[in-house]
Amino acid sequence: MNHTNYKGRKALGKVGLFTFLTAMALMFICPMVFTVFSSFKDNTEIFGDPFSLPKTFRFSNYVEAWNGANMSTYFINSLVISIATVVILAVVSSMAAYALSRFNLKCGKALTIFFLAGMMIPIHTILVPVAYIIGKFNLKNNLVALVLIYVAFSLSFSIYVLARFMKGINRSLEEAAIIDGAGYFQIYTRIMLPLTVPAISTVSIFNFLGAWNNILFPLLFINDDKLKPIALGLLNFNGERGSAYGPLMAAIVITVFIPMVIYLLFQEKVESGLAAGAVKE
Amino acid sequence: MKRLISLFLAVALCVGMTACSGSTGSQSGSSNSDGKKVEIRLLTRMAGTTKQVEIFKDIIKEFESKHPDAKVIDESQGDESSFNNKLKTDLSSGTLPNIFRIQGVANLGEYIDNGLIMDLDPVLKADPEWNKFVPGALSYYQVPGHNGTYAIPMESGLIGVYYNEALFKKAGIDSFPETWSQFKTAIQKLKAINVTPIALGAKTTYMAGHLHDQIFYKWMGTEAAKKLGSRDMKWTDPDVVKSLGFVKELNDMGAFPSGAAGISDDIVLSQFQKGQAGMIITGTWNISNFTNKKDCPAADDIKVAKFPSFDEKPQYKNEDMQVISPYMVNGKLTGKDKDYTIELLKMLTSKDAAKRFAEEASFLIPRTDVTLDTQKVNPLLLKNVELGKTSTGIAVDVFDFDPLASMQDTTRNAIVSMLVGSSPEQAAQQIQSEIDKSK
Repeated sequence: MNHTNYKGRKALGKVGLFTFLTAMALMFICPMVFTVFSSFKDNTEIFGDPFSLPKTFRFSNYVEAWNGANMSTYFINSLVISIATVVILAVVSSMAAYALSRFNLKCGKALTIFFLAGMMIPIHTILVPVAYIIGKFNLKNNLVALVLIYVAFSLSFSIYVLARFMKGINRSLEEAAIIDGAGYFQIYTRIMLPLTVPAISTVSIFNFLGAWNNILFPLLFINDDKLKPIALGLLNFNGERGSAYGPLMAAIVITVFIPMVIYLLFQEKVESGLAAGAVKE
Repeated sequence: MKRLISLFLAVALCVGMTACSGSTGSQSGSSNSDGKKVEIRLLTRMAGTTKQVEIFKDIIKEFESKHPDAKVIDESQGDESSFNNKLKTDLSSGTLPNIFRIQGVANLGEYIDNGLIMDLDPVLKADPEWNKFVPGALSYYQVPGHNGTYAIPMESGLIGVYYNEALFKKAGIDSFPETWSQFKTAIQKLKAINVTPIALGAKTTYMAGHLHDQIFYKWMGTEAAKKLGSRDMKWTDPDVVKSLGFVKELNDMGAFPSGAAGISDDIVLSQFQKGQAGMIITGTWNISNFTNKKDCPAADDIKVAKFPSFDEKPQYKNEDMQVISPYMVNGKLTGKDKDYTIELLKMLTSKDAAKRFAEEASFLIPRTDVTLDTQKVNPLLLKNVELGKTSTGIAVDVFDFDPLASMQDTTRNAIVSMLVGSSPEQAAQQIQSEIDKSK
C-alpha cells in the first residue's frame, strides 16, 4: 500500500516537473520562434500577424541583412574581439584565482573583496571616465583597447568563479607535486589548470557572450566601419522613425547562430562547471 | 612539457594581442595615411534604411569627392537610446562631433554657455543665398536668454491627423471635424461601426505625448509652453490640468485601441494601414507608409487634416504642432575643421537637397526657395505643406521649452499614466513635483 502511494506520488511529481519544464521551454523558445518567423516577413506582416507563419518566405531579408549589416567584415571583427577577450581572461583570471585560492596572502581577504567589488560597479556609472581616458589617449578605433575594457569588466566575475572552483580542488595533489619537486608555476600549469578546465569553460562562455553581445562600448569607441563588431551592424536597420524589422530579425538570427553553436559545443563542460563552484570537499 | 605549456600560454596571449592589434594596425595605418585629412564627425538621427538616409549619405559622398582631404565619419544612430548614450558620453567627455543634434530648446543654455554649440547667425548672414529658411523654424533655435541662432532646421512638417476617408464616410461623417465637439461625435460614430477611432500606441510614449501637445496648443497656444518652461505657469494650473483632462476624456470614451498603454507605435500604424483604425496622429515621415498599396491597403482613402480646435478658443485654431529637427555645430571648431563642417552643413540643407528630400522621400527641410514638382511630390505631402503654411504659431513638444532635460520622460509617462487610471490632477501633480524637486 505504502509502496503504491510512493509510486503514485513519484509519478505525480514527474508530471509536475515535466509540466513545469515544458512551460519553461515554451517560454524560452517563443521569442526564438518569433524571431525566426519574423525574419521572413515584412513590417506589415510582423505587426499585423506577429505569431503566424510567414505568408511568403522572404529570403531576401537574409541577403539584405548580410549586406546591410556589413556582416562579412563585422563577423570577423566580433570573432577576433571575443576570442581575444576569452583567451586573455582565461589566462589572467586563472592565475589570479590560483594565487587567491592557494596562497596564504596577508592581504588575501582584502584582495578578494577588491575583486568582488568590481562586480558591483554598474557600467553606466563609469562610462564617462572611460570615455575620457579613451579620448585622452587617442584610443578610439583601437580593438586592443576595446578588448582590454571587456577584460577589465569581466575579470572580477571570472576570478570569483575560478577561485571558488580551485578552493574545492583536493590539496593532496599539490602536496604530491611539491614532494616531486614542482614549483608554483608547474603546479599552476600542470595540476590546477587541467583540473580547472570545466570552470574555465564556463567563464569563457560567459565572457564570449559578453564580448559578442556588447553594444555599448563599440558604439562609443568604434566608428570605423572596418572595425565595427556585429552588434553595431544590427543598429544599421534602426531608423529614427521606424525600422526594417524583417532584415533586422534575419540579422539577429545570423548573429545568434555562432554563440549557439559555441554553447552547444561546450554545453557539457559548462553545465558541469556551473555546479562545480558549489561543491566542496 | 613545462616548456611546452609555457610556450602555449605565451602563444595564446600573443595570438589574442596580435589578433587585435592586427586589425588596429590596418586602422592606424589608414589613420596615418589620413593623418592630414580633416575628420568631420556627424551624430544625427539619420540612420536606417529609408530613402531620406540614402539621400543624406549621397550628399556626404558628394562632399567627400569634392574634398579628397576630408573624411566624414557618420556616427548617426536611429535607435534613440543608442543615440542618447553616445551623445551624453560625447558631451561629458569633451569629444563632441562636428555636427550633432540635441532635443529641446531651453535646455541648450548650459551647452551654449560652455561654448559647445556654435552661434550660426554670422554664417547665416554671410550667405544670403543659403539663408532662405522659414523664419519660424529658424527662430525656434533662438534660445531664451542667449543671442544668436544655435541650430539649422533640417526637418519640418505639420504633425497632422491622417484619417481614412472611406471609414469616415461609412460611419456617416461627411468631412473631417474642425472642432473638438465634432471630433468627439466623429469618434462615437467610428466606434459605432467597430473601428478604432484613433490609432494610438502609448507603449511608445511619444504618441500620447504628441496627442497632448496638439490639445495643449489648441487650448492654450504655443506661447503657453514657453511659460511652463520659464516657470510663469505651473502644470497644476487649472487650464493645464484641463488640457490633460481632454486626453483622459478621449481615453474614457474609448477613442484608443483597448490596452493602448501596452501597444507600440508600429502595431497601431499597421492597424491604420490596414483600415482597422480611423485616424492616426503623425508626421510627414510616415507618408511613404500611407501610399504604398502593398503595405497599406487603405492607401487611396488616406487624407490629412489639422487637429481640431476648441469652439471656445478660436484664437488658437492655427497654433500647431510641427516637427522641427536641428543640426547643431560644435562650437569649439576652428580653421579648416570649421570651414569644412559649415560647407557640409550647407550642402545637407541646401535648396537642391531640400528639393530632393521632399520629392524623393517626402522629407521637408523648411526652406522658402524650393519649388516642388507637383507631379513628383506625394499629394499628402503637398496638403501637409499647404496646411503648415496657415500656422500662426508653431512648436514641437511642450517640454522643448523646459530647461529640465528629464521633462521629456516625465511628461510623457504622466500622460500615459492617465490611460491606466491616473486622474489629470494626479498626472499634473506628478509632472509639477519633478519640477519642484529640481529647485
